[in-house]
Amino acid sequence: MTVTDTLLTALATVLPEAVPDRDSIAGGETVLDCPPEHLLDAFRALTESGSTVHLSAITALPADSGTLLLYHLWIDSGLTLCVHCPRNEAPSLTPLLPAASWYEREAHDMLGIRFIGHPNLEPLLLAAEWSGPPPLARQEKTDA
Amino acid sequence: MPEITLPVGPQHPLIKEPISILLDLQGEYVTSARVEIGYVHRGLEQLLQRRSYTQGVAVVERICGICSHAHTTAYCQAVELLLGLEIPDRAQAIRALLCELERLHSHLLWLGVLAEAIGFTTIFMYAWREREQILDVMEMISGGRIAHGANVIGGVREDLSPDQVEATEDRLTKLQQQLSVFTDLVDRDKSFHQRTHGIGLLPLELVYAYGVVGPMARASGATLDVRRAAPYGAYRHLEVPAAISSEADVWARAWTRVQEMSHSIALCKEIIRHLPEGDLALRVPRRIAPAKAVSRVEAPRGELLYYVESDGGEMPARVHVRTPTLPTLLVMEKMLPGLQTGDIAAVVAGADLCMACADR
Amino acid sequence: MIDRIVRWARKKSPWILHYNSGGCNGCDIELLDALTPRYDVERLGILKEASPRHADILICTGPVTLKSRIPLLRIYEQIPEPKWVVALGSCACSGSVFADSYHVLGGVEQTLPVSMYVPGCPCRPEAIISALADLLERI
Repeated sequence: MTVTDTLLTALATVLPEAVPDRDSIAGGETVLDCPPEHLLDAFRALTESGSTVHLSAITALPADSGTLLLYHLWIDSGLTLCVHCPRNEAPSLTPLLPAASWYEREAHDMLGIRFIGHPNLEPLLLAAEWSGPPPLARQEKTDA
Repeated sequence: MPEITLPVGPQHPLIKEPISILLDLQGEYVTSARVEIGYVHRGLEQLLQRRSYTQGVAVVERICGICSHAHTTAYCQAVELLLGLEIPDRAQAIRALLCELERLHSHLLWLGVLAEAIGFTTIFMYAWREREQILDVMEMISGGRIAHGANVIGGVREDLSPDQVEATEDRLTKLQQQLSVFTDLVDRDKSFHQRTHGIGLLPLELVYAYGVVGPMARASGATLDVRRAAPYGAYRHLEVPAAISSEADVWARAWTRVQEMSHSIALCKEIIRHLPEGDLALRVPRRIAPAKAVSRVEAPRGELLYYVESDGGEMPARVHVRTPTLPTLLVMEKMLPGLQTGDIAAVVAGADLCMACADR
Repeated sequence: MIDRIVRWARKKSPWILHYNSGGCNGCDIELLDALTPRYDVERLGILKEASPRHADILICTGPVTLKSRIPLLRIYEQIPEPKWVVALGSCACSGSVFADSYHVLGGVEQTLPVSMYVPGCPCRPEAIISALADLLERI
């Protein structure tokens, strides 16, 4: 099952250079690259196309520079928006889609990425006593 | 009237797990709610990066005791996608069988906990007594009541003998008869209706806005069920009926789950009557070439998503787990305001929260 | 004389308080299972209490996470003497598979004095009943 052409057409107006890729993530996901500055417009385009956009998860990955965010959506099939944030910050999706609230807080906890415009970017999972670096951020030395 | 803040948790008789819900009350009415989680945060995602893929199965099983099989299924499925493997049909059928049995035991558990929360201890005892039958079946099949260890990467560990198939069918038939107690409770019991009808409304717009999944969402009219929308494993050959209500209250959540129990029994019987022949598992390499995979599974509480990335080594580069309870907890902050204090128990217990899943 | 009567009464009605300081729920539901008709620990006089002030025995499940340490201590302080702590399950005994996590301090013994360790992942209701019966012998 693949993301319908109407949705891809709607996204093409916002992300003209993105090429849908069905091979880089196994499991039936259609992957599209999306620069952080176009993220909110992409969501608006998807919701205005009339479909119900279900945000399944936001996966945050450490990248060589900054953080890579994967927005796993479900709109009749899996669509993943790949957002590379070189300055370790991204616009918050929470004002548009409240479902993102806790996923963004968790990404902030685990990787230290800042979400601009998030109403309440406090630690979600980590204790107040936690004083170490973000747990999933790349360490300078690798553990044995 | 002065406003007070009532802290519910982390230790609370109603909730079996630590969670902090701070309720602002104006007299008997809740004016706002704030949910704080993290008491059960064990840093799973970082742990999994320091374990081999095979060790990861045992770790992932212990994220949550109630939906442990769903977690291992999703994880093994993700790793199998990384390898591009299609596991044997018999293994897929046994996995699906345990998935449905787990759904049954989880819903019975939930029903008992909800009943106890509203003061109906008899139903708690009845539901958990029937649940023992399911735990016996799971123990017979896999060797464990709660932590089964049934899944391995590449398939399943234990086979079902014809005697076990017959015993399972018997138990399921008996359970189907006993389910009438719970369908009567939901359809006809007046005191249950008074405590649950119209309480804890969750409109469909909030379900979509907050990304709520599972029976919680289906009780408000949403249709997403991963077994139907994106069938995986043996579900590609099974017809999974829908249990969708539009009442959106605690009663609807009970009705949806009782319906799902009935459907699960039918699905289990269908699986064991047509158990395909074949191997139990494929051999898998220790090192996995760089790849990424997303695996979605319908756990008892809803859509469970695993993202696994390999980098050529023996341990995963990244594992991300999104459990179905997270959006439910988030939407609790919207569901609790406006309730009377007497109804808080029904709504919180009716939401089927699993902090171990949420905090990981 | 009064002491003997009090000790006899205490042995016959040990009220438990359950707190999950970071576990997966497996042991919690096996503990709740012990209250249900098949295992029925109420035969031993055991009741699951709501408030720490009413309890004699604190049953802890799960490893102690960083965030759970203070609530666990507060609950223990609120239980009146004499009190006993049971570490239920492998996680409560030693931390089990989570012992080396950045957010886990270890088993319950890192924070509280433990009277009885019940290993198992999860421990069966039979093990729970046996452990509680053993503990009652020692009261």
